[in-house]
Amino acid sequence: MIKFALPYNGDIELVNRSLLKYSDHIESFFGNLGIDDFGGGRAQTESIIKNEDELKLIFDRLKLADIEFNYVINNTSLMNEEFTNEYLDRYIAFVKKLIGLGIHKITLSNPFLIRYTKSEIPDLKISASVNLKTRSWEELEYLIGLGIDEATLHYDLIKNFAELKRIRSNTNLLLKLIPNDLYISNCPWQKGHTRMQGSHSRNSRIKTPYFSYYRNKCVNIRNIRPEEIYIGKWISPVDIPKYIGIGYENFKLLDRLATTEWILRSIEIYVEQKRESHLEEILGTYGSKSNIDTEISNNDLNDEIYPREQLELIPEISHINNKAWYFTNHNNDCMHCSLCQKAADDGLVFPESKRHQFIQKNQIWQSQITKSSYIRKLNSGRIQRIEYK
Amino acid sequence: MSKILLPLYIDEHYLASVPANAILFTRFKNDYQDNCFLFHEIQEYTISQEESEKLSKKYHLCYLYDMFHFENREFTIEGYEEINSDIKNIISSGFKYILVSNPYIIELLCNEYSGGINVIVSSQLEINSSHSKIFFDVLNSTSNISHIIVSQNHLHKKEFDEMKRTFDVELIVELDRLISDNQIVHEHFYNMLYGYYNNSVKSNLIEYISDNQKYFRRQDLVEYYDESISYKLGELNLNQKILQENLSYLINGKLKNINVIDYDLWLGKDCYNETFNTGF
Repeated sequence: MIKFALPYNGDIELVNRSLLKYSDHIESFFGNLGIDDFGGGRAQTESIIKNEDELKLIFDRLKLADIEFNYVINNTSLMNEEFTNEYLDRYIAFVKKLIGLGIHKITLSNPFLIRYTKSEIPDLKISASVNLKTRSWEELEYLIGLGIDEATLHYDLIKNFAELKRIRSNTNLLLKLIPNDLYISNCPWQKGHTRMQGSHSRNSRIKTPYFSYYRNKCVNIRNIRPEEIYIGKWISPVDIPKYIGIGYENFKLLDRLATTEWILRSIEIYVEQKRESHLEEILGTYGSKSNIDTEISNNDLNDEIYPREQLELIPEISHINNKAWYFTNHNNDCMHCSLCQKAADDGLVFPESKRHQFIQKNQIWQSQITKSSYIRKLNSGRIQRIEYK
Repeated sequence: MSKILLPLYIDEHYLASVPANAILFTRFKNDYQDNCFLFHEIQEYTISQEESEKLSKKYHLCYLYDMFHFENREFTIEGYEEINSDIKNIISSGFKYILVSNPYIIELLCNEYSGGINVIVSSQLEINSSHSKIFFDVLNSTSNISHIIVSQNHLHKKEFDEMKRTFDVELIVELDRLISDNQIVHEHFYNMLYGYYNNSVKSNLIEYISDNQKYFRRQDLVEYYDESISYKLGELNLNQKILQENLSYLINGKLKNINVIDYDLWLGKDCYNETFNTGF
C-alpha cells in the first residue's frame, strides 16, 4: 500500500483533513518553522509555524494518530560554520528543544552533522535528505555508516530501476522517492538552487533578497526543450504500482509551499493511481492549471520582480506508457534522446508559437536581471514566493 | 590549440619554462571572495595589481574567482556592486580570463562583460555529463565562455567522449586532483574548501581526507596528451617542484605518472606517495 511523507504547510487543517481521509496512507509529516537558525530546503519570507506552542499542538495531534513529525534541517550551505563549537552548541540545544516538544526524527543533509548528531543523541532518528544526492547503493551504504535511519533517494534514480532494485536487495531501510517534482535530469542548477533556498530559510546577519532565479532556469529550459519534461525525473500516478512492485511504497509528496487543497488533491490522485492527463497540476515546478489558452499579458516585464505569468508557459502533460524508462537500460544522460523527444511529441500540448513568445520574454527578462537597476528593485521590492494553489 | 592552465609563480625560471599555450592563474589578496577557506589558505601566493598589469603584457592570466556560494549576498546591492567592482579591476589589470562557478556571476559576465573577459567555468559548477549543456543553452549569450573545466565525479571515459561531441566549448580536464564517485564525499570535500574560513576547518578537512581515502580516485578521462583537450594542473599553494614534475609528465605524454596534489596541499609534503602506495 502506498504511504506518504506529507509536507506541513502551516495549516493544521491539512493535518486534520488528511488524517480523517487518508490516515492509513500517512507515514509522517515533514516541515520546519519556516525560518530558524539552521535553514532548510524552502526559502521563506516568514515563519510557517509562528511559535513553539503551535508546533507542540501539531505534534500532539499527530501523536494521537501514531504518526511522526520529521523536522527538516536540510540546508546544504552551512559554509563551514558547522565546524565551530558555537554553532554545534546552538544546534544541539535546538534539537534537544525539538525533542522536548515531541520530535523523534530530523532530516539532515550534511554528513558531518549526521555523524555528530548520532553520536550526541543516539536515540534521535535521522532521515537523509534528498539534497545529499544519494544515487547508488554505495552512497546509501556510506550514509548508513554515518548513522542514518532512513533516506529520501535522489530524483535521478527514479528512472533507474536497475539501481533501485540493487539498493532494495541490499537493505530494508525506510526509503522514499519524491514522485511529484518535475526534476530536470542531472540538473545543473540543483546545487545553486538548494543553496539559495537553504540560506534564505535561516536567520542570518545579512539580509538577502530572494527571487526565483533557479526556478526560472528550470521552467525556461522546458520552453526551449520540451522533451526535458519526459527526460525529467517524476512519477506518473499510474506508474506507482511499478515502484511498489520492486519494494518502494514510501513517497515523499511536495510541497511545503502548497495550499491545503493542492496537497489533498495530490494525495488523492496518487492514492487512486488512475490519472493520466493534466499532470502539470500536481507536479512541481508547475503545480497549476495549464495557461496555453490564456492570452499573454503585455505588461511591462519591469513591473514585477518575477513576472511569472509572462515567463512560465505551462503545457498540458499526459502520461506516456514508455516501457524503456523502466525495463531496459535507458540512457540516463539522455541529451540526444529520440525516445524522450517522441514522448514529448505524443504527451504534451505545448503550442510552438507560444513557446517562442515565452522564450523571447525570458530572454528580455534575463537581460535585465544582471543590471544594477534590477538588483536595486529586488532589494527594495516585496518578495513573493510562488505557491501551488 | 589546447591550453594548459597552470598556477602563476613569480619566478623567472618558471616563467621562462611555461609552455606557449599556458594560461597562468592567480588572484589578488583582497576581493569579495577573500574569506573563502581555499582563498584564505593561498593568500600569501597572490599578486598585486601592479604585478598583474606587468605580467599580463607577456602572459595570459586567469583570475581565480570560483567560490560557488555566498549565502545569496551576490543579490544584495553591496554584493552586486563589489562583485562588479572586482570584475572591472580584474579586466583593467590585464587578466584575459576569469575562472567562475557561481551561476549568477557566470550570467552577469555573459550579459554585461561579453567583450571584456573570457570565462572559464570552474569544476565547482559540476558540469559532468553531456546533458549539463542545458545550463548554457538557457543563457542569452555564451560568446565569452571559452572553456569549461569538467567535474570528474561520476564522469568516466565514455561519458566524457559524449561530452566532447556535445559541447562546442573547449573542455578542460584537471589531471592532478582527488575525485570521488561518492557524491556525498565529493560535495562535502569541496564544500569545506569553498566555505568560509574559520579556525577549525583545516583540521576537519585533514581528518575528512584521511577518513575517506578509500572513496577517492585518480582521473581516468585522459590516457595520453590529446590536442583536442585542454588541461589544468596545480594550485596556487602547491610546491613548485611538484607542479614542474607534473607538467613535465604532461608534456612528455606520461599522464599516468602525474601526482595527485591534494595530499600534498592538505596533509603535508610527500604524503601523496605514501598514500598512493598504500591506499590505492
